[in-house]
Amino acid sequence: MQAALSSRTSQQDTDSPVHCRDIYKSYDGITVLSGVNLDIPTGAVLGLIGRNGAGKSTLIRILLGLSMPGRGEAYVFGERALYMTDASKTRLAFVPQQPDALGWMRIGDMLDFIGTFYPRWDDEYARNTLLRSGLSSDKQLAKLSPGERQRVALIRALAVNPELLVLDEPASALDPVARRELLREIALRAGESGTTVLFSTHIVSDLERVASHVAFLHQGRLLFNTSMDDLKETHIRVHVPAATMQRVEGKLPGELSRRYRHDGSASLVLARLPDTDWPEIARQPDARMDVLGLEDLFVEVTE
Amino acid sequence: MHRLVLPGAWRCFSVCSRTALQFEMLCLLYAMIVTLSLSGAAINPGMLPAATTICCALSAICMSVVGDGCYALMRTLRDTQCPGWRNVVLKAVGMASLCLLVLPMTLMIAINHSLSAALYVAIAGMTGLLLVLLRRSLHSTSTDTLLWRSLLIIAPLLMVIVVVRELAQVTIVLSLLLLLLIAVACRNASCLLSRQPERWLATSEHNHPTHRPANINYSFRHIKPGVIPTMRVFLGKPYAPVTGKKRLQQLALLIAILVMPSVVLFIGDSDHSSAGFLKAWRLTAPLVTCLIAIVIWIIFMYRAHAAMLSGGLQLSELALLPHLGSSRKQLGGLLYAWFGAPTLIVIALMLLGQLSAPKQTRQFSLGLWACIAMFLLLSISQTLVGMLTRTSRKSAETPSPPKAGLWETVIAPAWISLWLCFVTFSSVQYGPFSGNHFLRWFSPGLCLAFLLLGAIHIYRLARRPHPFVETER
Repeated sequence: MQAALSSRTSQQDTDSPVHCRDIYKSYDGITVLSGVNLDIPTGAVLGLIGRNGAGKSTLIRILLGLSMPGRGEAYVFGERALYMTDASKTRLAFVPQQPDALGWMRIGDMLDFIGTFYPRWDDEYARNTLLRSGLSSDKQLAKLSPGERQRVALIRALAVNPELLVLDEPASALDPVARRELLREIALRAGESGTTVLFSTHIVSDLERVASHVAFLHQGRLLFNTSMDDLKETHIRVHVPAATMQRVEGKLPGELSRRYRHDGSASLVLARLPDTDWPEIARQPDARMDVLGLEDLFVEVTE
Repeated sequence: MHRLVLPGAWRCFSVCSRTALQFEMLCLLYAMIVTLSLSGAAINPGMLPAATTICCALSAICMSVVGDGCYALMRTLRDTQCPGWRNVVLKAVGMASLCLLVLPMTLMIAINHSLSAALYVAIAGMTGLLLVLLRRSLHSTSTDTLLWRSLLIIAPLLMVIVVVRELAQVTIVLSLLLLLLIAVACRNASCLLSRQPERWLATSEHNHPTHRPANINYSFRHIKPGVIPTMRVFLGKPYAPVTGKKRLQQLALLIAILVMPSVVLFIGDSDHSSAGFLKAWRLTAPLVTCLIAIVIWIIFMYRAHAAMLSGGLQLSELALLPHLGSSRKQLGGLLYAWFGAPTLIVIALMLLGQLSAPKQTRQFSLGLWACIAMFLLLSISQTLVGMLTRTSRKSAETPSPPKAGLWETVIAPAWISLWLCFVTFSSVQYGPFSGNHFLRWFSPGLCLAFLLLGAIHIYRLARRPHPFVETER
């Protein structure tokens, strides 16, 4: 299953803004990432989902050349991420989970300062959005709440007009209104400007609302990396009665999880393998197939 | 002068003391330094000028803090609005305390450290402190806090007893320790009035003269994207490029702090001529420059450490900024910005201190600077190691970075402190570059070793794809 999905991933367009091959990373002997391959198509909004400690932040940092992988290589706009040139840096923006930098500065000063580095800096957008957010440009960054700080970091990233926007848990500290605005902005950027967006989250509803592609990271491995529609089409839950279940021997092809009920019937989560049909058991007249929501799939896979 | 010295002293304290307890611990540390230096003077009379200088420098700081506390008290009294008679009582008590704190100070200076003035200060300070402690102990639930506060009272008293037995300079010691007590009492009263048990009243930015009005000192539109200015901005406030006006203010503050102990000594001296001031300056300058050099270095390194090595993601943002050149250029810029300014300031202070020192204390002064140089080199080496072994931040999502071991937390600092004390006192006895072979070769050898270590760390950093990359330890 893993191999099949990996091979599908590697067949994608390698001219993508960000891709990595066979990434391994460990901290003090604990493996955090293990053989991760990832491609993000141009203009896609890829939601990287995983439980706490799954390695999302580490993967993002490796993809941007901020952390050295134990093995493998990441590429940004075709360049090795660890040796990115200025041309590539001006085309990307990154919002870390905790934007700590320049905390001693006031918001306005920070935006002025950062703006000088980017040729496509949209000062008007930055000022207007700041005003709309109700944040005073005279406020010191260190004195902002985590949510406010994240909003400022997002304004800063979007004012760059990036071709690649990388957000590490951007909605973790935001209130529902700000989160909705952020998602709208991401969708708008991707739709109108063709910005490629990579964002990590563990809030599945955010992902369903805005992502065109989804990648599941679990225990350092990338379980899925596919478009949202494909994911929904290729994964189902099948309720199989006890009598039929008794005829099943071993693990089914593409089976992700199996739960037995007290009456002997079972609920199976199945993935359809490329160029094959659903397993025969799913096509039995007494079996009931349900479309699987993203959250259900996430829970089934990770539990 | 008031607007320069008070904010300066406040900043000096506020950097080190975020809470009331930390402030008191700092005062205790100062008291210990005074006792040690005076005890040293009792053993070796040659150290008496140095000990007097330390006392004067610390009393200057204490006086600034007391003044600052009084300012905060006045502000609070003006702004506090309690219902009915409580308001009147509170303000009356506040004003009485204020008078009690300010008058002894004036008197003490006027009567030139006379014992009666010192006793007056003692009564005022002790009463204030005990009242505050009593009040706070009723509400405090932390045994540790109470223990430390008890120590704060007992330790200076014990030290006074020790020093009184050893030395005739009772008045100076007593007045200084009482100044410390007053500073603590003033601060505690301030906390009490502000009803924030562990907060220094003046930490509220709108309630203090150090509050920076908007649009004065910093402007970043003029900064062109370049590696050194960028590094300086990312390293934090002390490093950041500022306008000429701000730079002049900083210079004036530095000069004011340098001159303050001489002024205090000059006021307390009987010779009020220009020669008397020069004498006071020669006496105080070497040690004051040493103290300022250490404080400045710590302020710079503290900020840099917070910005670069705290486990945050601040470096990451720097790594993704365009127009910073090649990785070698980035590393060079970082090191230049990081260590350049503080090193220059320390060297300038060293030269000033050394040139001002009288001939008979030059050897002592040189020994002290040797110790400081060792300390600075060690801190450079340590920060570079920190940068080399930087891993991802500690969070729920990534494995915890390795915790500092026993070596980093206990043994190394203890060893270094012991060594510094040993060298300092030995250099007073023998001189660092005189007859004693061990001192002659060991100190420079250690400096060389630290330099070598620093060079190795820089070489290892230079071999990385870029200096800000996180790596496995």
